[in-house]
Amino acid sequence: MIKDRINVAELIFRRNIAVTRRLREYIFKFSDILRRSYGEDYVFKIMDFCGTHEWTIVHFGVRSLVPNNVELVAGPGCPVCVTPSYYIEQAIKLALEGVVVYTYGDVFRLPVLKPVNGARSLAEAKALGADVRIVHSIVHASIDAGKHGKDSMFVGIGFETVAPGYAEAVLKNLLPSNLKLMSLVKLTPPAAFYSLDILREKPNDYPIMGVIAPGHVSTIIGGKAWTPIVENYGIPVVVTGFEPNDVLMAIVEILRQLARNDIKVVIEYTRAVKWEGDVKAQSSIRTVFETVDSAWRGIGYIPKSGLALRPMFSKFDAFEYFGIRELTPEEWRYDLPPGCKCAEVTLGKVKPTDCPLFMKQCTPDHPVGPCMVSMEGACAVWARFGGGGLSVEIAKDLGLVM
Amino acid sequence: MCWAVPAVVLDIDYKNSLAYVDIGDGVPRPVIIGIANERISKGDLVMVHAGVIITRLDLEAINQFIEEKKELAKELALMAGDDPEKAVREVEEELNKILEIARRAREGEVKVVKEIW
Repeated sequence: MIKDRINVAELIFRRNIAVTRRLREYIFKFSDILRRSYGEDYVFKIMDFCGTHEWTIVHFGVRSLVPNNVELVAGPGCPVCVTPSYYIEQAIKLALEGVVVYTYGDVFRLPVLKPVNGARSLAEAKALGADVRIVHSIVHASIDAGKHGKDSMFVGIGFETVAPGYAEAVLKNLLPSNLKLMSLVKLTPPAAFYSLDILREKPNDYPIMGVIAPGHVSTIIGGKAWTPIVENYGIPVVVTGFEPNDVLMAIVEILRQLARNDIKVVIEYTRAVKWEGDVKAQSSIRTVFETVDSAWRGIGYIPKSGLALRPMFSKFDAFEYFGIRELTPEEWRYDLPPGCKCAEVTLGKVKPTDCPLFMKQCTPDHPVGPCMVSMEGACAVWARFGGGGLSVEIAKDLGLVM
Repeated sequence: MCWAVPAVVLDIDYKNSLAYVDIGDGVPRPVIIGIANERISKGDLVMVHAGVIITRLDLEAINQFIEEKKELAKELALMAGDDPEKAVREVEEELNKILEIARRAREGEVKVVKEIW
C-alpha cells in the first residue's frame, strides 16, 4: 500500500499521455506566436538550473517534444561537478592517513586534478587500502562512526537541500565526537545569477529567455528566492517539479509569459513548494552556517555562494579538527583536466557534445571530468540517455509526435 | 542538486529531529527532518533528499493547480478560436481524474497504480 501511495505521487505527473499531448500542443501554439513577433530564426533558450531537471529532460526525451525554436540549456545545478578538486584531494590525503571518510556514491568516484600518492579519487584511495565508506546520509555516517570511534570525516557536499540536514545534525548533536563535517555546501541562486551574467556578457548566440528553477532547492528557500531573476534580467522563472509533465508545464508557462509579456516567478510544483519556503529550515541553516565566498570547480570564486560552519560549532568542523587549510582566491587554480569543458557545460555556454573528450576519453565508466560522474552531471546524463534519436522514435510510438 | 525520493513517514522522534520513513521497500530508514517538525505527521508523504526530509507533498494543492490550468486552457482556446468553456471542462475532467486516483490511493486501494499506466 505504501508503495502505491508513493507511486501515485510520482506517476500522476509522468504517465499521463493525454496531458503530455495537450501540453505539447500548447508549447507549439505559443512558440508560433513568438515566432511571429521575434522572427523565424529566433531561438528561445530556456535554462534548467538543476541537474535533476536535465536528467528528467534527457531521460524522458523532453527535447523531442519541443519545436526547433525552443532550446533547453543545462545549467550549474550539480554539486559534485562544482566541488573544487582541492577539497577532494584533502579528503583522499586524510583517508590515506587513516581517517575514516564517509561520502556519497558519486563523490566516491569524483576524479581529482592532482593525484595523492597515486590515488585519483576516493575510490582509488579505498583500493589502496584507505577506509572510505559510501553512505546515503549524514545520519548513516553518524550511526556507523559511533560504533567504531575512530577519527572520521563526512564529505558534506550539496546545495540548500542538504544544508538543513547538516544544520539539524549539528544542532541536535547527532554527530558522535569522532565524526567531523567538511562543509562544502554551495548556494544555488548566486551561481544562477553568475551564470546568467556570464551568458549575457558573452552571448554565444541567443540570450536565455526563461528559467526552469530547481523544485527541491525551492522547497527550502522558497519561490521568492528567484525574484531577482525577474527584476534584473526580465525573464520568466518557473519553479518546477521533476516529472516530465512538470517540465512541459514549465515550458508552456515560460512561453506564455513571453508571448503575453507577463514576466514573473510562478510555482508549478505547488504540491511541494511554498512561496516563503520553509522558514524553520532557513533559520537553522543561518544559525549553524555563515555565508562565505566559495570556489566552484573550473569556474573560480563566486561571492557569497558557500556555507561554512560558524566558529561556535567548530567542534564539528573537519577543517578545524584535521587542520585542513581553506582554499583562498589567491591560491585557487583552474582545476579541470586538459581538454575538459565541464565549467562551460555547467555555465550553459556549451553542450556536453561540444567537448572534445565527450564519449572518447571521458565516459561514465572512466570519467575524466567531474560532469561525467554524478547522475546530475550534464555529461553523464547525456552519455547515459541521450543521442541516437531514440526519444523521437519513442515519442512517435506514443503518438506524441507525428 | 534536487535528486529526491518520495517516502511515507512511519514514526517521528521530535527530540532528535529524526523520522523513520519507508521509501516503498518496507524497510524503515532514519532520516533528518530538515523542515519545521510540525509540518510532518505519521503517514505523511514526504520527499527525502540525501537522508533529509525537505518537504511534505501536498496533493490537495493540486486543486489550486487545476484552477490555474483552467485559466491557461481558456486563454489558449480563445487564441486558437476554440470554445473556451469546452477547453476548461476538458482540463477539469482530466485533472479531476488525477485527484480521484490520488484520493483512492490515500485510502489504500491497490489497483490505482495500474490505472495510471
